This record gives sequence, structure tokens and C-alpha cells, in this order.
Amino acid sequence: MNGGAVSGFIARQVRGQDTPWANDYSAPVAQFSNAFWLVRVFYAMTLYISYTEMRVLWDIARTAEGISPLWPVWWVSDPRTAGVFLLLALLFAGLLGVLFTSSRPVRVVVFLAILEATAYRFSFGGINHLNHTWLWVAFCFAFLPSGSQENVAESAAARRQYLVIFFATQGLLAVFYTLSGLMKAFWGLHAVMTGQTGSFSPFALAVLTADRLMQVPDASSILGVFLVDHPWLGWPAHLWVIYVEVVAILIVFRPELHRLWGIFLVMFHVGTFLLLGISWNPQIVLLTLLFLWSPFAPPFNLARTIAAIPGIDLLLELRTLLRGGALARGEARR
Amino acid sequence: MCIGRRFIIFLWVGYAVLAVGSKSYLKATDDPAVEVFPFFTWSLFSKVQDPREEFAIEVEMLDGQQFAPPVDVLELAVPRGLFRETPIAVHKSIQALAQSNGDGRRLAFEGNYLGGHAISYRIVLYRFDPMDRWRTGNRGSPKILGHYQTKEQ
Repeated sequence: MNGGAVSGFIARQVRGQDTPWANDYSAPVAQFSNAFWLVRVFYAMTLYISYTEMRVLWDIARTAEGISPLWPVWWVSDPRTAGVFLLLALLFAGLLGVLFTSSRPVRVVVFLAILEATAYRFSFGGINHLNHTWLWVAFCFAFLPSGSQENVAESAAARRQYLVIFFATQGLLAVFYTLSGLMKAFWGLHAVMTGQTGSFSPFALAVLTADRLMQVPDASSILGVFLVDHPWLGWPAHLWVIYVEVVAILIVFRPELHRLWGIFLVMFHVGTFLLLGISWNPQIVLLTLLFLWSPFAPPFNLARTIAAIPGIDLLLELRTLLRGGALARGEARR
Repeated sequence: MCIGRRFIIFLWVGYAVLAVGSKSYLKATDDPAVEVFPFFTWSLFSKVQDPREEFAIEVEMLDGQQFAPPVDVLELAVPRGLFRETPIAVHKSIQALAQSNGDGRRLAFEGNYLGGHAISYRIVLYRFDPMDRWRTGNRGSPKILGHYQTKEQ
């Protein structure tokens, strides 16, 4: 394949047709209206999480003695008072976010409240990452332009700006999954080269599951014990997860796959719950908002969807190339 | 290149570079911090450690009651109500404090999770085959890294 063919191939991988990535993108009003309502649902979810976080923060605040503050809460000297202040601030910001979703300053306040509350929660030793995606989506949405739905819809530039931010947010979530997949692939290859057990080993998922269940004595795993007793069953599932994660960033540029990958990623989290007992409730809502209900997803078409799947698209491309070569040879013979 | 694309690339690439770069920096400088919050590499279950190395806190005496052999604090946590955080969060805290220098993390851990109890404990390192441990329950012999007492003694 020559240089032009390679660059053409890469360009096709990230063409982003009918998304804000495309040069000829017109920011349709219908896509904007969908995105606008999805953002509103995100702030409803934020209020819900703020409410559920109250209990967690209160439990910390009423018993906290020492603190190893993460940088956003460097100012905390009395962790008990700070905990109460932050749980109230988070709840108040959550309410503001629902009432004034269209206001950028309010969205900035919501992001700062989530940042502070999350940093406080994890300033007592280990960092858990269940709130990280919520935090980063709030960060991205703070950049959305201010204005009512009608006002933004009227201006093509404002609509475009809104949808660019929404698309960037989808992509950032995909970057998280791609990083996760690349880490598994990297350490998996490293293990292959050093002759150790790694991500690509047949028993990898069983070893991870056994290890996790022993780490957490009261882990509520439903299928974990079964998998550890039948370790081969985990191999295809683990390879599938690595593939789904690694290519996630490519999916953002292929709106026909947004829903399918949303389903795949939700299934992945269902799997981690069944095997490892890890439930990540907000992530399921985020995947629904950003992928399953993606404003850029076209009406479902089975052939187009299958043809866009990374790997299958390569095979189709190869078939086209081979056919083209055969035709050219046929012409030459004549 | 339009502004939209620049913003998108800046956000995605910027995040990835900061997450991976800061993690590499912390590792290279032997910093006990796990990450520069909130930049996380999303390296979850990436390494299949076999054999696995794991730190543990084992209680030797709790409010006057002696344990011989010492008992993992995670096994005592729920029945004794030692702490309210999820066991995995406490497990992560133990891994972080065992690898940290100085007493800061340990004292914070004692204050938050063991406060109100008179506890003698030891920090140990285990090295084991996870599948073997699963089948036999054998975690091997611990390497003792230090003995400590909470301030309520």
C-alpha cells in the first residue's frame, strides 16, 4: 500500500461524517435539540447523584479525623466542618444545575462543586474512580454556550459550538475506554514477551476475578465463582472487552456505531457486576446519554452498521482492493 | 483546522498526555500518590499479577483481645464496625499507605478507620498465586514490614 493509500485509509477511519468533526457539518437543529435535552437529563442525574453523595459525605464528615488532602481541597484543615459544607454545596449546586441548565456560570459552579466534593471524598487514602466520568462530563458541559434552547437554535454558530462540545464529551468518554483497553493490551503484550500471565492469557479473567473476590471478603459477585471454576469461559469475554475498549475512540467518528457500542459498553459493565461485584450506576446513565441516545446516530441500518465495525471495515476494504486489482488485471489481458 | 477540531484534539490528547505523563512521573520519582487527581490512566485490571504481591494490615490485639495468628483487618472490619468505607476503598488505602514514606498516611488511616479502638497491628507483604490461594486458601508466609499501635493504647 503506498503513502497516499495509507493516508486515505486513516482519513476514512476518522472522517466523522455527519458529526461536528466533518468540515461540511451543518449543525442540524434536530441534532441540537436532542443534545440540549440530553444535557438537561445530565443535570437531573447530577442532582440525583448529589443527593446520594450526601450520605457518603456525611458518613465521612461525622467520623473523619485525619486528612491527606488532594490538591482541590488543600484548604481543608477541619475535615468534619468541610465535609458538611461540601455536601451542602454539592446539593445546592445540583439544584442550581437543574433550575438554570442554560447558564454557563451555573454549569461552572456545578463542575467546581463536584470537583471539590469528589476530591474531599478521596482525601482519606485510596482514590476510587466511580465519580471521575461524572466529573469530567460536568467539566466539558461547562463549556456549552449559554442561552435558552430557542436562542441557541436560532444561530448556526451557536448550534455548532454546542454540538462540538457534546461531540468532544462523547470522545473524552471514549478516550477513557481506549486508554483502559490500551493499558490491558500493553501489559498483555508485555506479559507475552516475558512469559508471564497477562491480559491475553486464557485464564486472565479467572485470575483477576479470583483475586478480586479474595481482596473484598463481602464482594457480591453472582457469576465470579462459576467463572473461576471454569476459567476457559473467560477468555473470549476478556479478548472481546479489550477489543471493544481499544477501538472506542474510533467509534466516535462512526455515528452509525454509537448505539451499538453503547450497548457493548453497558454489557461490559453488566459483566463486571456479575463477575467482580462492581456496580457503576452513573456510568450506565452516561453511556445512555452519550452513546445509546447519541444525537449524531442515524436511523438504524443493519448493513451500514456491520460495515462500519472496526476490523470488518478493514476486511471489506481489502476485498474491494483485491477486486479492483483483479478487474485491472482482467482489463490488461483484454 | 477549525476551532472545533482544535478544541476536541486539545481536550482528548491533553487528557491522555496528562494522565499517562503524570502517572509515569509519579512512578519515576517514587511518589506514593496513585495519580494526579482527577487525571486517571484508566488502567483497571490491566496487569494480571501471577504471582501477586499484596500488602495487608493484620490485627494482633483489638481492645485487649489477642489474635494469634493475627487477623486481616478487612475480615474484622464488618463484624466489628471498624470503618464505613467500602472494603475495596480500604484495601486501596492499605496498599497506598504500605508503599508510602513517613507516618502521614498511616496516622490518617488509623484516625479514619481504626479510631476509637486500641489496636496493635502489623503491616505485612504477601506474595502468592491467586488461583492457588483461591483453591487452597493459602496466601503463603507474610513478610513483616513493621509493628504499630493506635494512639488509644
